[in-house]
Amino acid sequence: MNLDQALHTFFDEARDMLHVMEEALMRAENVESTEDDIHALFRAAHTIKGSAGLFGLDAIVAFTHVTESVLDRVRNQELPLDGELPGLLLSCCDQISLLVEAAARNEALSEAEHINNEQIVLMLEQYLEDGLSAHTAQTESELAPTSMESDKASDDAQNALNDCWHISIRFGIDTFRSGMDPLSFIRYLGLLGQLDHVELLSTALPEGAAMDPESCYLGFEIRLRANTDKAMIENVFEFVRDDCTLRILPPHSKLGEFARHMQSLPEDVSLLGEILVRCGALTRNELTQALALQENDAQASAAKTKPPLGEILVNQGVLSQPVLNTALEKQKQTQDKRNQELKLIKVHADKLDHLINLVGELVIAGASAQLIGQRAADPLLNEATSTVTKLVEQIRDGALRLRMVQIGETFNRFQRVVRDIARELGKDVTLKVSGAETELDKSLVEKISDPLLHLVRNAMDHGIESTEVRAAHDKPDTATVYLNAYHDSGSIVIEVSDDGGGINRARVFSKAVEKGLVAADAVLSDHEILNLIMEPGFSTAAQITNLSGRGVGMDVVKRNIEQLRGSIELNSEEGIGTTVRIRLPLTLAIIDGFLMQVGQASYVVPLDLVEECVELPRDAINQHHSYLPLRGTVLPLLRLRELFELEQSSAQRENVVVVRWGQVRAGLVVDALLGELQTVIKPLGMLFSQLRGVSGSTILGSGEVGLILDVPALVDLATVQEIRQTEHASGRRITAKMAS
Amino acid sequence: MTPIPGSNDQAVLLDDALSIYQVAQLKAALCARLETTDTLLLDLSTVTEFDGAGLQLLVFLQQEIARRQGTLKLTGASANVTEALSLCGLSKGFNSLDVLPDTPTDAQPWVEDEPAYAPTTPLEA
Repeated sequence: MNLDQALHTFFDEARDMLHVMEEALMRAENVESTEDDIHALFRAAHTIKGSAGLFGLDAIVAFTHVTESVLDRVRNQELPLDGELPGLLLSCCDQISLLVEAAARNEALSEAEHINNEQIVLMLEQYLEDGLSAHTAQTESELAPTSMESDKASDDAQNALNDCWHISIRFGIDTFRSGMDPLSFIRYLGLLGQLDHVELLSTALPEGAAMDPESCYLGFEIRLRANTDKAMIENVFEFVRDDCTLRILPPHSKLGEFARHMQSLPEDVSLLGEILVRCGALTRNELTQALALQENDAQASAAKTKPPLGEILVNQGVLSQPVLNTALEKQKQTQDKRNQELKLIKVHADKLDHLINLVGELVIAGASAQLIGQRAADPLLNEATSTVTKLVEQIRDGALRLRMVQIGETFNRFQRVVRDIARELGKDVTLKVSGAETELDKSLVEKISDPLLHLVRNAMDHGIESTEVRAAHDKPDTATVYLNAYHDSGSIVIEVSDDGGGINRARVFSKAVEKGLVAADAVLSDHEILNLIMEPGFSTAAQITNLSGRGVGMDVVKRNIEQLRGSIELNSEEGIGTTVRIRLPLTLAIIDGFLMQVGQASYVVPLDLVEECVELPRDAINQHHSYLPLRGTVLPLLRLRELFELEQSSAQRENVVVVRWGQVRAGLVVDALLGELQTVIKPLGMLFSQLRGVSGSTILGSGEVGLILDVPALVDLATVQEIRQTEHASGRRITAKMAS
Repeated sequence: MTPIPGSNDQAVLLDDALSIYQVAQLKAALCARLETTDTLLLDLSTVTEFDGAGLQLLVFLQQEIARRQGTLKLTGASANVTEALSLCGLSKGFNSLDVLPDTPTDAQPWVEDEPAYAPTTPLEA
């Protein structure tokens, strides 16, 4: 692997780690954090520091080191993770993130960032210093008696006299190839304390030609005299952890442990025993005892079909049952977690995109094969193609699902955002998330998070009132921002709502007049007034904060959403709150479409948006109504022939396709209904970017081009046409002569 | 690797580096040498780079030669080699791997026979 790639991996990893840290800290701040969280925190900081050190990113190492030291004290329960500490550690996360990003861009930190860096380090050091004297004294006094007691309690004869750590390591076969040198680990180990004895094990060395000099066959038995803990020793071997066998026995381990230790190693037990004696880990007498113990074990296990270790321990009264149960439970949990991690593989997004492109081509090719089959009227061929089509459909769905991710992760990121903004604004706000398991396309998730951020900020800044105002209105002190997501007829709906003051229509209107967006005497519907907020250059915040209110918010959000073929809708009740509803198509690539024909041109609408199809009654054709009474409701009609200015046809019958977008229905008048079609969406070129009513194109089985209709825009158009029928409508005509 | 002239094909001067980058080549060359002789004298006095792979090669050679009932002798270990061997507890003669920097009478009989020996221009093995 070249260094650049490795560095990229480091940056990716570091970002993941920081994310993990942030989540753990958020939990620490809100509720009681678990031990796992604290360990995860420490591990993350430790890994970032270690890897950064490998690449010589000294600034990251220096800063992370201080953070890690504080976390180490938290981990050792010398320091409680409460009060101001989680907040401080969160800013540490931000700082590390800054440093990592700066390193990724290969830049140094700015002056201000530097000062901030030093300030945080100073604050961290307080946690290191003030505790050190008091806390260590305390822990030492606490520890001393217990260790004495435990010494007394345990049977002296059972414990080895050895007062050193015993470390057995067998290096993995690829150690040299991964650029590691076993000797350097042992040298490093020597820094922890004094290497009492090092024994090189060469029993694994093959003979003659079988020995590959670039493979590593080395193993070591090491006696280390050091005042340290197991984790420190394990850390020495961190970089080879995954592919080496490492066994560590603390000083004065039980003879039984030595016996098991010997058994767990690949070498012959008697040989190992000799080595242990030679190392000084065991006396000869102890070795005999240990081997006898092991013999007993072996006999017992043969007789009782191997009772689990836990059982033996309980039987011997070493462990009580409840303690054992919790230990086993914990073990199982970690294992489950690991298994879960193993089930995930990281795939480069490009590969997925490529796969989906190919599936798209497959869909088109399949459609054309089916068409030929139908023309040939060969039943066998038809059957074969229909099987293929079914499979292609499944492959398409599967491929698309690969890119589907749950929105929960994006939502959870807002916990931090809400916390920070709430502090900044001095408001008491919580975030409630629902529908986190709703899935949507990965590419959409990335594009939606910025608009969502805007909306959440807006809700907190403009929507939610100050604590005094809330108290005056008998509202709970703590305001709430809700994020919600759900699927609805082929689209995903994301709602951002708050229980704030709602939108003041009168203020919006007067502001719009002031900004020259509407005439002072214009009569607007409630809906239209609310939509003014999304006009460019509109801002109602009485006071412009650095969060929002610069008039670049909502119109940008609206534009972004529309670029994703989605729509945005505002609901607001004064004094109760505001809800912003974003509606997005589920996927950007392939959809189930409904194919219809007008004259010679083919059009496709997403099948999920089609409610029903009815024949246009003859009198409606003759009278040229722009609406259709449908089971007691009025359905606005949109004649595609007129809309796209197609030539008049001689078709006797016309059909209405009823489509729904959100709560609004409209009928599209077409000549013929051609049925379902798997549709690969091909974007239109730059030239057509201003075109309304058409959102993309697709290639039909016959090789012709079909246009995909932009249902939201058409529904909008139909309703507007319906409402303002009196107005001259020619200006809104859409020219789409490029059709077919 | 440089064969030392006039030393009965047994003495070899390993120069510069004895590390993962050289072990494959050296193993092949030294094993080929072992086809003709059971005794090997390695001069490690000029080895500047010595890592775990180099150490492993020495241990391997020692075992191979022991199997043939031959002798492997090391002489003039450089500071790097001495440090690594003592780190791994090998300098005391583990498995009779003889490191004899301090006992010239035993270690260098061939040097006395052949005073012309000098670290000559290194030939690549």
